Amino acid sequence: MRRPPLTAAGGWLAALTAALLLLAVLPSKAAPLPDVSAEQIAAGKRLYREGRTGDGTLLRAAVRSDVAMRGAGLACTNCHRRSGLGSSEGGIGIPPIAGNTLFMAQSNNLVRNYSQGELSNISRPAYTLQTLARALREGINSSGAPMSPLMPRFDLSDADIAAVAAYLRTLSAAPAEGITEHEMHFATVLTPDATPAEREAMLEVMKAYFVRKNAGTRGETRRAERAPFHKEWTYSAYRKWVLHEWTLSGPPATWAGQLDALYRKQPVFVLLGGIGRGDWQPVHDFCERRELPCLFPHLNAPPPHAERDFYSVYFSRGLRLEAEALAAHWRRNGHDGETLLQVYRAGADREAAVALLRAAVPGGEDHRIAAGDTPDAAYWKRLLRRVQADRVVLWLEAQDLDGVAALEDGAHAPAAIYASSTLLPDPALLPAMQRLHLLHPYQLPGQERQLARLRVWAKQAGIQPRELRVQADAYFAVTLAGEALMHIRSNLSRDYLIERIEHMTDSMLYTSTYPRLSLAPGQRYAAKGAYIWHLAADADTAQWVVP
Amino acid sequence: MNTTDHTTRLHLRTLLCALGFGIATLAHGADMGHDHAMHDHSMHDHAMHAAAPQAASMENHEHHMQAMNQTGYQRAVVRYTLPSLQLTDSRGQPVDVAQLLDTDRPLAVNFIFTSCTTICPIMSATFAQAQRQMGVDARDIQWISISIDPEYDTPERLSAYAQQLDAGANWHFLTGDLDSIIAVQKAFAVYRGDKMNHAPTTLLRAGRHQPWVRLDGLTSSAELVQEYRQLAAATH
Repeated sequence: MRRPPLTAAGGWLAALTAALLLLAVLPSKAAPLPDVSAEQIAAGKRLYREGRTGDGTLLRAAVRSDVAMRGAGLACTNCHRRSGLGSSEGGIGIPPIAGNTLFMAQSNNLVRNYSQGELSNISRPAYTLQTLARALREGINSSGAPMSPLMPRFDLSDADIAAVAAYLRTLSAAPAEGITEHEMHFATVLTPDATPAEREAMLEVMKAYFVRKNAGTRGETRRAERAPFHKEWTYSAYRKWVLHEWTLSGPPATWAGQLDALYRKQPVFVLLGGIGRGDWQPVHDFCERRELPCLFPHLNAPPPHAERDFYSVYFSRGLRLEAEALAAHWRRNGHDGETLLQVYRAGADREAAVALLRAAVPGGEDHRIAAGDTPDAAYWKRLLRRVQADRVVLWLEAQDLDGVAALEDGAHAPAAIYASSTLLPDPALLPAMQRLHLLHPYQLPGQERQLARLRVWAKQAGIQPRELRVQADAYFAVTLAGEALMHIRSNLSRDYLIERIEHMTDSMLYTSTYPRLSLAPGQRYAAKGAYIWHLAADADTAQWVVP
Repeated sequence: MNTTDHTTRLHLRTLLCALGFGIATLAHGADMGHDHAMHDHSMHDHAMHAAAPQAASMENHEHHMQAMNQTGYQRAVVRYTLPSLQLTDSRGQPVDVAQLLDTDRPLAVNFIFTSCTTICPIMSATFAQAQRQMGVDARDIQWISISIDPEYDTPERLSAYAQQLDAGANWHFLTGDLDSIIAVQKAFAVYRGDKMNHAPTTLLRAGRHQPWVRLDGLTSSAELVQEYRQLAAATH
């Protein structure tokens, strides 16, 4: 059908006719599903995600007319993303290809009237297996028009094309769990190693945000019921946010079972925020297994290999980041050959950092303070007489530092003492020492303007400042989730939510205690560096180290 | 088409891109005609105007217009003044940018990041293929890829990336501290603030004191080789 010309006189009439026609055919059905086997879908998934064809060879194609490419870099998922809902980068739009878009006719006069660029490609007949094959091999779309030169022209067998078509029909097709017609369910996980004060500080921020969010959504829900057809997809995304507290107990080995039981009782769309000081791996693994986004928990020890997985996104690598920063600083400043004494208390977060730094600095000793011991000045002097080290790292909390200034006295005083800022959230409580440096992935004093939005919001919400890093992390998690959900609108796909977060974190007006948070496809730790901050010197002499 | 049109459409496109194409699900099914969709404008699109260097002088405008109509990229001849900056190569060695560029050897420069999924893999593959196509000639050129995500693209990551591309000794991958990387992007008028907004830009230069040929948009490798040959022929 050709579009009727929109003359000044007939314009509105034509638009109305078009609107009625559009309504008359909504919702249109995808072409009937041909018989496909589970094996075909699995083969299609391998091709889509890994760029591996049915005979096990790597995908081959020409891009931008003559650039030959091969392998996983060509896999569909790179551009169209895991969700199949597309992306955009540098003004180049990658269209959605998930089955319920691809195998349906697309028409969008509203867009087309304003855009004759790539977006005009949205108007096209539904793809069939034949036109899909032509698109993949020759770069001709279902309208018969040439596609963007960015789209690779693939060397694919008929079986490969049938497999990828079968997979695309399943992609982002099932409705995500944790979402009902009127509600969107979130859970926040609290592990037993977080203190009650920290838990309350986090929950207070999250609950206040949810209350305000829902107060705003009430009107949106009403608007959705009366939305004009061209806004339905916008308003239909609004739902009441419901927060569930998932409080874990007992040893980490039992958490997987607890999480599964909680999920069965109440499926959620996202794990948001959350707090834990020690092991978080069981929560991470649960999210990966359930394909459940786990966004920005406040942790000391996030799992080390999150970038091999998809669903968990962290602020930083926690104490490991501090250890890595010191290792890099050590290497870059020529301390190779010097010895290092690490002092710590038991705990998964501290033990991980100690092991990591020890692997980089072989000389010296790791000293664990026994459970019943309270170190005083005499304790530190004895320790230093026994273990003479060039430098000392303290993986300790404030209550262990009362007599630590004694380290600077006498002939055995180390050249520098380093301490974990994550374990010492308030530098004002530290003893005055000449050689103490903080391993500090956070903003320096004077840089905290980024927290201004949080302060104003918290004041309005009647929330007092306490556990500032916990509050700031919780606020970041909820506001980012809010913005990302606004972006994905009614495409309520968990994969797409993660993809939007990968994409938008850098440009967000964020409130954070970190100097800079940045993500990209596949990146899972947003903060990348730490200051080595010599407390006796001016803060602006602190060195930023990216390991 | 007037400028206002450009601007309006550009803003709308930006907005729509930001919506992540959620809009595609707007009107399922109704085939309202696709007459305008018959042409693929993607690489000719005026959104590319956003990539035009603003402070740079544009010589050879005729050629630029012609090139834009025939190919997927825009060409401009520009001069840049580079501040003295220290970056780091993929072996972790410091590199002074001004020194690196103070050479009579021809240069080809692009901007990438290793976790970029859409345009960077193609830009890198284009560099690699252009080098293969040029054979021994490619060895005269210094190929330089500068990361715009320096805190993630450590020398180790860049080294692994270079290895995947089978990059030779005359293809340099550079990272650095965030401020220096922003400064070098600004010096070449490619800074977009957020790395996700970055646009594909390739810069060629025949030798010391020569202007840069700036290619905005994705070139095929044959086009890149052709641009280089044209440049080399004009200056010798």
